Amino acid sequence: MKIIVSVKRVIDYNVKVRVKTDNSDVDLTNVKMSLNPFCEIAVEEAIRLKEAGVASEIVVVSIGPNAVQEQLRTAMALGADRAIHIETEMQPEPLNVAKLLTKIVEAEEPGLVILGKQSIDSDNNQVGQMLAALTGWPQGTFASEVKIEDGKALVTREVDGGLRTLSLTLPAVVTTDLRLNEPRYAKLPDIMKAKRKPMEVKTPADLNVHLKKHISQLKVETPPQRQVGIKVDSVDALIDKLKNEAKIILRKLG
Amino acid sequence: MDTLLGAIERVVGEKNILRGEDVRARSADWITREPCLALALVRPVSVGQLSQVMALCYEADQPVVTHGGLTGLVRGAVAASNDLVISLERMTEIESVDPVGGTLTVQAGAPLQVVQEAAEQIGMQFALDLGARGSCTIGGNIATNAGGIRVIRYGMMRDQVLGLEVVLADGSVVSSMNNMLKNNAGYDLKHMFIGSEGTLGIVTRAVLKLQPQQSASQTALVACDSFENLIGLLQHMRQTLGGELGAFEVMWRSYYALLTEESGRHNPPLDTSSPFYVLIESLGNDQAETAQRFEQAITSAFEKELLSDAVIASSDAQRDRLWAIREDIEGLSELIAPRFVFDISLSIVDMNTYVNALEVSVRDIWPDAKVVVFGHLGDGNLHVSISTGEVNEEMRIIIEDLVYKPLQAIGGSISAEHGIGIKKKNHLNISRNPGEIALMMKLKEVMDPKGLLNRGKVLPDKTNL
Ligand SMILES: Cc1cc2nc3c(=O)[nH]c(=O)nc-3n(C[C@H](O)[C@H](O)[C@H](O)COP(=O)(O)OP(=O)(O)OC[C@H]3O[C@@H](n4cnc5c(N)ncnc54)[C@H](O)[C@@H]3O)c2cc1C
Repeated sequence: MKIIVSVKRVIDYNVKVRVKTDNSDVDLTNVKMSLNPFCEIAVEEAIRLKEAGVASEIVVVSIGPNAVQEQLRTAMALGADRAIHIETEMQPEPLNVAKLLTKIVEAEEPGLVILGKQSIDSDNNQVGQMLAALTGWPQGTFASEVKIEDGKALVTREVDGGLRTLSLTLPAVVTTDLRLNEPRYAKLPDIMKAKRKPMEVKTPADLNVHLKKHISQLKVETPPQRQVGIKVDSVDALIDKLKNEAKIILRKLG
Repeated sequence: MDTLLGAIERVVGEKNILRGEDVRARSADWITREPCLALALVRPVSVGQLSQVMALCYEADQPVVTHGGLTGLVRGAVAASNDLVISLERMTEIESVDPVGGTLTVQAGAPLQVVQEAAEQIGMQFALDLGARGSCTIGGNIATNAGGIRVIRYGMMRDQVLGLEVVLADGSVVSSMNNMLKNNAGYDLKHMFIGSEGTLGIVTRAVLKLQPQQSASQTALVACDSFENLIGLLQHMRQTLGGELGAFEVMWRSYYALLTEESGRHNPPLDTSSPFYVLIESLGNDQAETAQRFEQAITSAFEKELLSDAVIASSDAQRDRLWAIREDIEGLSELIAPRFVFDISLSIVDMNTYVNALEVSVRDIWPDAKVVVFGHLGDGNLHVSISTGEVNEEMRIIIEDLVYKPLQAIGGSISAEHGIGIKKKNHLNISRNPGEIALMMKLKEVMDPKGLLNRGKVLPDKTNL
């Protein structure tokens, strides 16, 4: 079985985000960029399925400028077999991404597509679901466990207050949650080998997809600064502050 | 006594003098966690208050012990039942930051991490860094002349301090808050206090030097097959990364395997079969260039067979996980408690022979003993833990002999960065000659004639001279 994993290059999770002075966007100049953590988990899951003998080939796909090839190389160093880079300077919206991936899926005919449940920069949580709709495939989102048995994917999902296990007929779309696995590190010999693994470059035009813009971003703001706390002298003073300054309604217990 | 405490209470206020259980609840020994025995603990909020408190103590011949973040590892902050503790926990203000001059002025009780973050806010960095960053204070870092993980690039605490303010034994305040990079007007008094472990004065404020931020970092964990390769790797990294080499932290297999596979505390990124593991970090300005240079340096080391395997962190989260292995001193403490801890300096080329011989000599006596080694190898500094399953005085004497005797023979130091405190004072003569020790004693006599400041620390007992 072939697995397709889509990955996104995003600002590193640990970076303290700066907003551009005109509030138009986040400032990405000379900022550390990494694989989106959920995508990293998706890559790891595909590798584990390959190591278990369930998958035979892993193809990673990323959409974006030239720089995304760095993340594709990382994914190949981790264990993906080849990469497809769909080149665009635009930041495509989820629907555009899903349309591009649909074309790749049609051409590659994988048994399974694994995606992160969302990217940590735009937090949309839409691509996996849209891809399932466009391909007409079943979907298992927020996976915390994935098993492949008898042509089915058993996907355990984390839902409010518990777990829910689904059986999906393959081919299917799975999106990953944080607890699915702990991604491995890229080893040096594999980083070196990954440089020679095949990387195919395509454009949206090659795939017959016209990237449309439906949404425009009005502004980006930093959260309000938390004010320094104060110390109060007594419980009475605390209750007074809570009532009159924090405007919290206090009820008697019991 | 009560009149003294009463007078102190009038200076700092009732809430800021603690007694009994409130004092016992604290521990000045990070390793044993034993309760603090001091008769009381005072928390002044300003240099003015501290100076008044110290003047009262001087008049009453009251000995004092200074408390910073209590992460010191040589029992330097341990107090006896007739000591008074002065804690700097309320003196934590960052007074000013100067992005142009690259300086930061701070009260001595501020935690290291708070200072690091304040520097980051203005696009600079404060270059001292060590595992205890969240708790240890600037005053404690100055008092112990702390080292840490960035010494290879930026030097020790001494190199980060431009000026200081201290309260002397009699309560007088000496302000030497220099903020100039260059100032050769007479004796540079700050150096007398840096590394004096609270025995010559209490540090109350400091002017610290900031460095430009190096926002591009790259981190790898590598495995080495032999000590020769390890040395070759250090030289290779220094040459290929030039000034960008920001850390070269070595874990002997004894440490790496214990903290990963053997205890299950961390997933091992590399298997545990190699004798040496190194955490290598480069710090640069440009993300792409730094990454490329780093990968090239690691790759060429691999091609030269200086390292046998490596992982490179592909995100800061992975970087943090690699560092968590190296910095899990808490885990180490739990896993091999009780233990004897050493912090030694020696020439890098002697390290392997030294450690091997030490293992042999320890196991000769205690066949099941654990000897666990890691350290800031690029600085010639090793941390050695020895655990025989129990700790007693007799054993301490034997083990100290096993560690220090061979060290003396090769001209090493009994304290690379943690200081002397109480733990090592009677071994001071191993690393300092009689002339040096005599001058230290003279200095102490002049600065603290009544012997009130951190008495019984750093300098050897007279009977041991
Ligand atoms: C997990 C861990 C990792 C560590 N890693 C390192 C490392 O890599 N490198 C290193 O060098 N050390 C290391 N240490 C040791 C320790 O963190 C440092 O020595 C630190 O500088 C002590 O600061 P502190 O505020 O905790 O001082 P404390 O423990 O409170 O005091 C240490 C000594 O300084 C004196 N003192 C404290 N404040 C003042 C003051 N304002 N004026 C005068 N004297 C004062 C005390 O009386 C005492 O003698 C580590 C400790 C831990 C627990």
